[in-house]
Amino acid sequence: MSRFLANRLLRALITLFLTVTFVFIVLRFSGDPAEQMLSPDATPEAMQAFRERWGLDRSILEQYLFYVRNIASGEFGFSYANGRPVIDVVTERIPKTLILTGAGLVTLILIGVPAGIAAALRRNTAADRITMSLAVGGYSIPSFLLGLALIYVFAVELRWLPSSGSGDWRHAVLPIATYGLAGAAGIARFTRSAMIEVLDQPYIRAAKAAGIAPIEIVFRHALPNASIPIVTMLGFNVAGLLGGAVLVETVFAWPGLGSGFVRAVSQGDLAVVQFMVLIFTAFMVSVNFTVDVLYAVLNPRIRLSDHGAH
Amino acid sequence: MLKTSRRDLLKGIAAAGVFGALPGGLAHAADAAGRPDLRIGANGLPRSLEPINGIGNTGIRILNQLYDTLIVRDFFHDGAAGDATALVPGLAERWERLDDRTVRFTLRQGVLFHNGVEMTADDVAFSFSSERLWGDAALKGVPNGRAFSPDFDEPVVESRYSVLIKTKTPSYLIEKFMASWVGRVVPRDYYRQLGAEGFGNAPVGTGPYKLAEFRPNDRVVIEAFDGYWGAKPTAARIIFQSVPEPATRVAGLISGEYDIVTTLTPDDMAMIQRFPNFETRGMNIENFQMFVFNMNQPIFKDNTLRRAMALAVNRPLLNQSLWHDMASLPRGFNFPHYGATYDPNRDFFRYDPAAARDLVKQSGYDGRELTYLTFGNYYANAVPAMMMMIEMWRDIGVKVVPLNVAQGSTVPNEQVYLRNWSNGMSLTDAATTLVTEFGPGRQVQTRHGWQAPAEFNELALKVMQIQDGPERSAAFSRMRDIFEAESPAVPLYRPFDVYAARKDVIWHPVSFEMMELRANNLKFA
Repeated sequence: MSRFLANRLLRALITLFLTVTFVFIVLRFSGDPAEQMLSPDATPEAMQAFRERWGLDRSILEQYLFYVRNIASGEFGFSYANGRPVIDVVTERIPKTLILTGAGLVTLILIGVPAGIAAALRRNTAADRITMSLAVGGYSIPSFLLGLALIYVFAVELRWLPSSGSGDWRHAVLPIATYGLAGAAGIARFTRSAMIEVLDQPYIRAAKAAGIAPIEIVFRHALPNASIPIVTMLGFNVAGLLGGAVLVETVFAWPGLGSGFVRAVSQGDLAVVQFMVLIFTAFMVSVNFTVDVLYAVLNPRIRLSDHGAH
Repeated sequence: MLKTSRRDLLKGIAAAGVFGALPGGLAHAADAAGRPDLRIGANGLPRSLEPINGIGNTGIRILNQLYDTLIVRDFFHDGAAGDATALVPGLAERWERLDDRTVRFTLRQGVLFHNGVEMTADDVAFSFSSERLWGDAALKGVPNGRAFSPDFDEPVVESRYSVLIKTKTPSYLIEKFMASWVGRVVPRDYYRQLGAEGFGNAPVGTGPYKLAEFRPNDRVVIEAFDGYWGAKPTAARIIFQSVPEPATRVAGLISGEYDIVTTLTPDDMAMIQRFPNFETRGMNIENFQMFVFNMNQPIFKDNTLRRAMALAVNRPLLNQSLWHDMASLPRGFNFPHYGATYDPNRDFFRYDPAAARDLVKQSGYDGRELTYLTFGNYYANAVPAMMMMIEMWRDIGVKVVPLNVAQGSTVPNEQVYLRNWSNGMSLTDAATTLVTEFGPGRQVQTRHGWQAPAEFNELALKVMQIQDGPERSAAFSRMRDIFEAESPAVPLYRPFDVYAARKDVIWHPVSFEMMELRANNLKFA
């Protein structure tokens, strides 16, 4: 197991390094932060002063080495927009995004997994078809459109909840619901497929023949064996939550990492963009690493194959 | 895709209004004096609240409440609808011109900054000094300070309440600059202590509202400053909430979360007006959209093809199609807020496709594709306007193709033939922007390659140095003639800026790109 973990950890670090390097290079060639930050009306001297202020007048290699050295010593620089430490700019947004993504993930699991199990147990019935129709609909609708629809119903029509901002818990309800409903649809479909496959296995039929209670068959024998595709899909969902944050946070004016990332990119605030990419990458790598470890825990054959056993 | 969805949502909201939903909205919070909060759903927030670094359409609506200027432009002077140009005393009780480059300002006494320190001539002098605004060292903290300033010389403090503002070369525009966005006064010691960046995060001014909370890209809360020297603020707090998505802003207004929402379009007006408790309010702002030629390209070095393409633009059609006829078409490079330097008798820009076709033949245009650079709809309706003009140019035999990129993207200059642009006009004078952008040493000549006739440049220097009067008006008139004959750029229209608000919030837009939320223009029914 330790060799397995070391192997995965090494891969994760390499991924992190390559992503950060790639993003650094791409950002440096994608536009002039001085022009983005100062507007096209700025004088050439102002542009030059800005570049000198932030070290953008140095060669790309110099900038890169400086950046890597600073990261290694835990310094992530300052926002070009207002001179605040990047770590402050970004970390103050992390709780907002964690609230949405964490609650969104719980919501999608609580809705998606039971719905998928129920549909599988009632395969080809009206309940199954209705559940899957809703799931296909939910999976197809873009999250920003779902968000706008929820705003229309719950903020404009019913006036139960606010449409935007992050003042109190009520502001979080609609964006969390948007995450949860959109993600639950996909999870429900995968859970159903995985459960149907497992429920057809001989050992399930044997368990039924042995008179084991249906609830025990589902949760003790079927669900654990169906869990690998579900965990994989949940991994994708967790990663996708950050991508979805860009749209959902913009629609709901929620001040999390997603909307902050959009703003930093449009402003050319490279220091903030780089740190956010670092965080996103670390997050993705962590999710993949966790999923790999969960695979190994759930299925020892995966662990063994990493040792070269077949 | 997003736009279609937004329109669909707005239609849905309109349908809800028809069925009679939606009374008053959420209750207002109020302070001990009974003043309510004002909640504004804004299209964005500035990156900094430093008076110069915060300049932009999202910033000056907040800066205007935090800071004062020595001289104030009274947009509602003599009952005007929000577009008057009268200059009245602000932090200066009075001012007198001493010579062609010096104005003495006698300051109001007892004016307090939000930190309780009295404003004196030292603060005013610092605000317009090389150290803070226009010197080489200031460039790093306030990069646009020099670009927004006249040819300042160091101010001279005469006494605690008297200061001389000076320029190195003759300028009769000092008073107008002091009433513009560059004229905001900051506290010297506090500013020095924090530096421009730190000050931008924790600003202190003399305005009727002081900063209570600044969460970049989220919200700004300002609260009544009861030590204010002028009319007491009428709102307890003003909350600017960033809501980038227009449909969400409208939903927030209808659901009662906001009292005013900003930056809608004429397309949204009919829908909002179906609600009994809300209305749209708008005005043509002192900004004009245009496209500018890249005159570094050989084909545009000569004015023949430029003139042809200018004559082919049908502005009334653009206005009708894109702005519901609410944009304002200019009479040449000439706008009403120029005051004494406005020429109300000048003709509108010509539309003459037949003459344009002749000029295309004379120009030696070889049929190549000319690229038109646009940063999406960074300027409202920029993309549909471009697509309509491409058809107008096709009609005269010129082939133009769009080059649509994200805002801030770098496109090599040699790939660009035309680019869209806008100019905000921060002074009530024709010098903006005929001189400040198109004059000698300014960016249309230095960056876009316009080889302006010597006469134009001589006149540009002249109008910056002489007083208003027949000679100055004649000089501007001649500059406008040269501009139209040369056509280095093609002004299109002044856009119509749309807000929506609760009817019980008594507030009116002004013709500049900001909000006036002081006591003279904000009341609650």
